Formats: sequence, structure tokens, C-alpha cells
Amino acid sequence: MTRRSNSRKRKKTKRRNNKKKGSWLRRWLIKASLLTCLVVAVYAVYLDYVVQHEFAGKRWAVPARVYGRPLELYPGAALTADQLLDELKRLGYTKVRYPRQAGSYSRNGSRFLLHTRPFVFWDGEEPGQILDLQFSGRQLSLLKTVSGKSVGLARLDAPPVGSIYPAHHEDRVLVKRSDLPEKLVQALVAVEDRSFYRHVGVDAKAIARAMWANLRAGSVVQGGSTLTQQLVKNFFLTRERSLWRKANEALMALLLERRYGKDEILEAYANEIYLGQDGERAIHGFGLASYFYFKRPLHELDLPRLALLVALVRGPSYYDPRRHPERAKKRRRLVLNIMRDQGLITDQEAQHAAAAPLGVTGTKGSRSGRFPAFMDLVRRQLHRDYREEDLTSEGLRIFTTLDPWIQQQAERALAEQLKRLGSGKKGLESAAVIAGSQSGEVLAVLGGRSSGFAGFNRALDAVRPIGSLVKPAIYLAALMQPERYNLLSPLEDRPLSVKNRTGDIWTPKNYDNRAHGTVPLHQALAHSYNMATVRLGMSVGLDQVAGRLQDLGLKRPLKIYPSMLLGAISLTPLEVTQIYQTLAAGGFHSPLRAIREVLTTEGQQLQRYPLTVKQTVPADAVYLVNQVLQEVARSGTGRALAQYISPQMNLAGKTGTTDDLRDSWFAGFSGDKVAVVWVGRDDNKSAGLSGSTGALRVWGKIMQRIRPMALEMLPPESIEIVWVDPTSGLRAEAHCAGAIQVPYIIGFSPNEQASCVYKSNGSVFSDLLEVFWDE
Amino acid sequence: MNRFIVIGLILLPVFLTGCIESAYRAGAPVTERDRPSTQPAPRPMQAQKRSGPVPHRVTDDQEVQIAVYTPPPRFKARPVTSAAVFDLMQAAERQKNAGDMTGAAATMERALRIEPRNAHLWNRLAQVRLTQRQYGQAEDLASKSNALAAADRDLRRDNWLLIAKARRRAGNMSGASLAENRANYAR
Repeated sequence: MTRRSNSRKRKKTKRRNNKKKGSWLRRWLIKASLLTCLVVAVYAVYLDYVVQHEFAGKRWAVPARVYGRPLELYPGAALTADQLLDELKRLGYTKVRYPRQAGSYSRNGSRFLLHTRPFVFWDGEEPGQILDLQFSGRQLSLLKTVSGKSVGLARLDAPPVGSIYPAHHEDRVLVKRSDLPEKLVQALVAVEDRSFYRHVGVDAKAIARAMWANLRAGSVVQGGSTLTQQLVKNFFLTRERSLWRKANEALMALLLERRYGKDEILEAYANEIYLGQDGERAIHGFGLASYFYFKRPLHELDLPRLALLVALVRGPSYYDPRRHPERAKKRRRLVLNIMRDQGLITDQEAQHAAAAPLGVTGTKGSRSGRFPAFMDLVRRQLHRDYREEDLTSEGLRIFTTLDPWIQQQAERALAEQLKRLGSGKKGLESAAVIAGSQSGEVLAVLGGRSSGFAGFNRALDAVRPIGSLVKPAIYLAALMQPERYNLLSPLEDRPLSVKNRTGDIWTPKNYDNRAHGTVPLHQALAHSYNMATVRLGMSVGLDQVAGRLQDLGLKRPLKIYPSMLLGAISLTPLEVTQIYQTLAAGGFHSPLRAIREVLTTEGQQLQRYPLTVKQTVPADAVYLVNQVLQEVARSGTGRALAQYISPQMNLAGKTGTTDDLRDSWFAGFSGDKVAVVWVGRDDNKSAGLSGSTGALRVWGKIMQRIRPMALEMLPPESIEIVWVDPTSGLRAEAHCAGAIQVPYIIGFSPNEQASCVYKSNGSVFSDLLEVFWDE
Repeated sequence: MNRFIVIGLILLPVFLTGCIESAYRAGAPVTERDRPSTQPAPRPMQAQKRSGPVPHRVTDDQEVQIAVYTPPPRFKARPVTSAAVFDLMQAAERQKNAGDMTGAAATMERALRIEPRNAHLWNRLAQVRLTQRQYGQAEDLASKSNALAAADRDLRRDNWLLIAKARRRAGNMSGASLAENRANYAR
């Protein structure tokens, strides 16, 4: 045994000595290659799993799309041709000679032919149709179909105003393979991956060709990646450039091709490919790129625009058509030439398209961040009902109350007026909210003087003392005690000292530092007399005033102390809007809403935020307060409004100013809208502006631009309007010298008659005749 | 004077149609409904606008105070319903009859965006909410309709009856009979 083994050993050694080097190497190689194979196989299985998991299980993260209000078209609508044009521009409608295609229009003076897009709303699809519109003056006077049938009402598609994308800032509009225009697919394949329909994921020939081209050029001029490889690169991998990544990419491409069909891969590619950057937002996929560059859906794009999208695939920032139009044009020409060479288009088509302008819209209009302040409000309201991941990935369609036209007019008004007010003043800021007075729908939000900038949203977050804006609540509390107060009740506007809860003595002063003596109640409010108001508030009771503020819609906890009577309460412009909404709606509180409806991607109804009203304060007392708020605008502290808007509009409002002119406020309403404007400084230093020299100027300009409805208040049933002799406060008649009409809550008007009243039979009949004669 | 009385009697209906406010003042029963929509009601009498043999004139020194109340009450005969809103009202009616209350409410809201001060629309929305058993909301919406109904007595009556129904179904019996009284009063 030992010997034998010994001899074997010897033999072995000999053999080993002979073939020592070769065999060791071979065996090592075999082992190593086996091991490599195993590792690769395991790795491939792993990758296969990753590919399948990611690809098949991929739920495209589609951000929620947010829309503004759709423009309603109907005969008699208060709409100008310019306003319509503005909306069409926002929606990306093209001007043509005859609107054959949806999303286009023609114009001849004040007449428009408009081919609307079909659009799925909450209540179903609004069909696309060709409308014939005629404007006259500031009205849409005629609305017909092109065949002459009159149309009662039609809706344009809702303007997209933004999207709610996730933290990694990827935004996309999902498209299906069947939505992809054939020309786009053909161009893409011709330019990026000619053998796409033949290869197995990797194209060896293309790689060789690219390497050769690169060698000859001495630098990387051509890539050999197939569309599948590009997809993998976009889909799974980082931007790093290494051999390892290339190998990985190739392997995954092979696996992907083995698992999925060409169409599936193409669809994924079309949604994944990175095509641009909008600030922090990454533009992914042709669907969104079409909106981003051309403001219209993919299927409406013509050849030059489709060619441009394909041109962008190679380098969205290098060929950015907005920043580098010449490069983009050159690259687009290349794409068109390739298409021509491949026989996809004729030479004439290619030349024609190459000569066409790039057709991209201005960068500002296309940014999703056009309305950051409003979007902020939308997001906050949505977060009450939805999880962040649902908002950023489920492709929800959110219909909001934003009126982009009003928003834009308000932004312009604010910028213009602030420039005027701020000459010589640094750091002047402003915020505004505009809402529908009867509905509580928020129409526009301005978070600061530069509206496109998503910074500190003052409309929602600047909590500032409201000054005299609080006064209507005090007078409301008083007028709700009709046995004690009416519009002519005498108030004492004389100095007083009030002990605060802390024991400090507080001596309110008037803005003009004067005491006005005995004044009628309406005058004290119209001219915002502080001393008379504090006396009134103290006599009505602070708790009463606080209660009325809460009835009007104040949610924030309130500390009850005397100085609150002059507005030592700090609120945001949005909160103030809520309070004035209740006044504007005659005592009917409607919670301010920014969202109307939420639909799923497929157009299924998910949620509605309905209009609700609640009568929280009595209509008659509110009517009386509003009468005085109209007086404010007519002859009180808000009379400067006449510079901006006709007094015949009878708008109502209130100025507010705080100590050292730090905050300048104006809140008011028309027949259909309520608006609040604040002007001041972020550092809380004096802005040097009172309510009427600051915020009123902005408010007036906004109203001037948005052309609100006149305010015609209807007296509630419990109001009677009585002729009164203003000096004595006694009941008078129409013919009495200086008699005025004063509304009273029924049962509380003066009984005693002034001496001018005839002691006639006093019948109803003669009264009526008297009036007839007067008219 | 007699001549004036005769003319007055002839034109009395015309006057009644327009001058709601003076009618209130006089406490005269106003019976009109469906006032013409395009024709604005005549203004209620005003101190400044008088002509003819007027015993006294407004003196200038009181103007600030007088300006306070004299100009505004110039309300048009409302509610006015445009063709667009009429279409929507019919659409809402169809939805309501088909049992699609949410849809009907949405359509009414759309109409209200076009005519926010149309009292009929608020009344219809109140009806939808009543059908949906949202009694509180139905009552508030009907009150809102009343606030905008001006002299439309039929509408007022309808609103009060609706309020009575809503209150009764919500279990507020005394409130319901109170509302019924108001409905009768409105007639």
C-alpha cells in the first residue's frame, strides 16, 4: 500500500513536472469560467427578476393633473374676444384658416370659428365641435354650431394649471402605444434604432458601426444603444458611464426583449424617456413633452413638432429648443433628412418641415408652476382627504376653481400698483385672495408681488393684524340688537380710556387724531372712527363681537380683550376673505373651496366638494352693515375707489390700517366676487401706507380689470325702508326737506312723526298716489 | 288733483309692478309674479330726483349723509334666467328624475356659477338636497333662495314649504309649523 502509493506519487510528480504549467492553467480556467458562468447565471436570474418585477409590476407614477375652471360659452356671457383669445392661448389652440382639427380656431374680426377638443368632465364628456362665435362689445352675443344650429351652452376643455409630482420631481402624462402617432414611432426608430423590430435587445452591428465612427472621429459621436437599451438606462440605472453599466444595460435589454413584445417596450420607452427640465421638474415621456413644449396633446402635433421631439431624445438640454433654437433646428433637420432617406416622408415634406418654425410656446406659459400660490392651497385641501402617494402616482384629475384669467389680471394689477406705491420704498410686499361671493369658490390667490415664484405664500401664511377690517363684526353685533341700535343711532366719538385685562390703560385714538363728537352709527363705520367704535364695542360686549366674528367664519382661537376692537387680531388674507364672504353673501357662510371634483385617470367620479351654505348671521343685520360698507366706498374711507371703478357699481368694502402703517388692508365685494388685499413688509416694519393709500389701490385696480357684477342688494323681508328726518331721527315723508331713506329692521323704525308730515287721512292709497306724483 | 287721481288709478298696476319698495312701505299687498326680466324696475322714489311742484328741496349741507342711502336700491326685476341656465335646469331635472342626485346637484352648481343670484336655482338645489335627505342643507339653501327672491311671492312660499318639509323630516315639528305659517303669510 505504501509502496504502491509511493510509486503512484512518483508517477504523479513526474507527470506534474512535465505538464505542470499547462494543466494547472487549464483547470483553473475551467473552474473560473464555470464559476463565472454560475455567477452570471445567478446574476441574470436576479436581473430577470428585477426586470420583470420593475417592468410588469411597474405602476407608472403619474402625478395628479390639476385643472382650472373650464370656460363656459353661452350667448350673453360677459366675455370679450381678448379674453377668449387668452384662454385659447392657454389651451394651446392654433390659429388656422379653417379649423378642421380639434384644438384650432380661425378669427375674422369679432367672429371666431372654434374647433373644440372633446374633454371628459365630472358629468361626462363634452363633445368636440366646431362653434361659431360672435362678440359684440363686452359680450359673447351669438353662439352656434358651424351648421347654424344655436347652442345654449358649451364648455371649452379645462386649462391644465399644474401637477402634483412626487419628491423626485418626475412628471409625466401617460400615453398608450395606440396613442403614439405613427410618424413619431417611425422617426424614432429611423433615427435611434433602425433595426429595432429585428434585434433581440442588443444590436452588435450598430455597436460595431458606432465604435468605428467614434474611432474615426476620435471621440464619441454615435451611440450604438438600441431603444431597449436606452429604456433600460432610463428605467433602472444611474447616469454613470462605465463598462460595468454598459454590460448590465445590455444584459437587461436582452432579458427585457425575451419577456416583452416590441410594442410594450415602445410604450414604456415613450413614457419613460427624459425629454426636458422645467426648473426642478423633470419632463418624462412624449405625452408630457408635447404639453411642455407645444401646450397641446401629442396627437395634435404636426410633422415638424414630432420631428423636434425625436430630435430631443439625443440630448434634451443640449438641443433645448427654447435655449438653443439653432442647435434644435439643425438636429431637427437631421431627423427629417433621415426620415426622407428612409422613405418615410417625401423630400418636399422634409424641406417644408425643416423650414417651419420650431413652434415651441413661451417658457413661462408652459411651466406647471404658473400658479404656485393657488396650487399651494389646492395641495393643502387635498391633503385632508388623500395620501401623498395617491396624489403623486395615481394620475388623478383634479378640477379646481381657479380662474386663470382672473388670476392673471389680478397679478398684473398687483404688480402695476405695487410698483407705483413702492417707488422709494423697498421690500413692499402684497397678497390677495379673490373668491366667488355666493359660492365660496376661490378664483385666484396671489402669494406675493412676484407671482411666478413659489416662495412664502402670504395669502395663506402671513398672519397679520387686521386693523379696522374687524369693525363690521362690531357693528353687526350692535345692529343685531335692533331695540338698541340702528343706522342713525348716535354714537359718541370722544376720547376714552379702557383698562385691558393686564391692567394696562388703553387710550384709542382716531386716525386723524380728532374727536368727531356725536355721530350717527353709519358714519362712524363709514369713516372708521376708532373712539366711537370702541365705545360701541364695549357697550355691545366683547364676547358678542367675538361671537359674531366666529359666526362670520373665523376659526382661529381668539383672545378676548378690548384692543381686539381695533383689530389687534392677526389673520391671513385667506381667513379675512372667509369672513367677508359671509358678509358678501348676505349672512350665508360658504366654506372657501379650491377644488370642485376629483376624477380617476379613466374619468371615474371619485369625490365632489359640493357648494354648501349656512346662514350664520341674520340677513337683516348684515344688510344694514353692507349698506354702510357701500357708503365706505361711496363717501367714506374707501372713496378713492371711484378712481378705479364706477360708483354705480355700488361696491362695498372696508379699509384697514395698523399701528405705524405696518399693514394696509382692503376687503370688499361686488355682486359676484369678494376680494381681500394686504400690503405691507415681511419684516413688519412700517410700509408707510394706510388701507386707503395702499391696499385699496391694488384692490381697485384688480376690480377694474376683472369687471365684476354690480352690487345690488335686495332688502330681506324683515327690512323696511323708511323716510326719516336725519336731524331729529323722526319718521318723515318723501316731501320733507332733507328727508332720507333709511333701512330699519321691521318693528324698530321710528314711530313719531316729524312735523312736516301732513296729518291727512293717511291711507295707503294716498301714500301710493303721493309716490306716483313724485316719480 | 282729480286728474292726477285718475291717471294714478290707470297707472297703478304699472307702478305696483315696479316699485316694490314703496309697496313694502305702504304695506300694500303685492301680487305680481313673473315680472318682465329685461325691463329694470323703476327706481324707488328719491329725494333728489323729483321735479315739478315739490315743497322743499334738499339742502347742500346735508349731502354727505343723504348720499348715504339715496342712490343704491335700484334692483332689477330678478331672478332672470338665461337660455344657458334654462338648459342646465332642464338637464338637472332629467338627472333628478333619473335618480342621479349628485349629478343634478353638480349641474345646478354649474348654473349657479353663471347666475349666482338666481333665486330659482338655489331653490332647485335645495330640492335636490331635500331628496338626498340633507335636511339642514336643504333648509339653508331655501333660505338663501328667499334672500334673493325679491318680490317673487310664489317662490318665497315654495321655499317656506320646503323649509317646513325639511324641518319636519328632521324631527323639528314646531319649526316646521312655524315655516308653514310663513308660507301662508307669503301667499
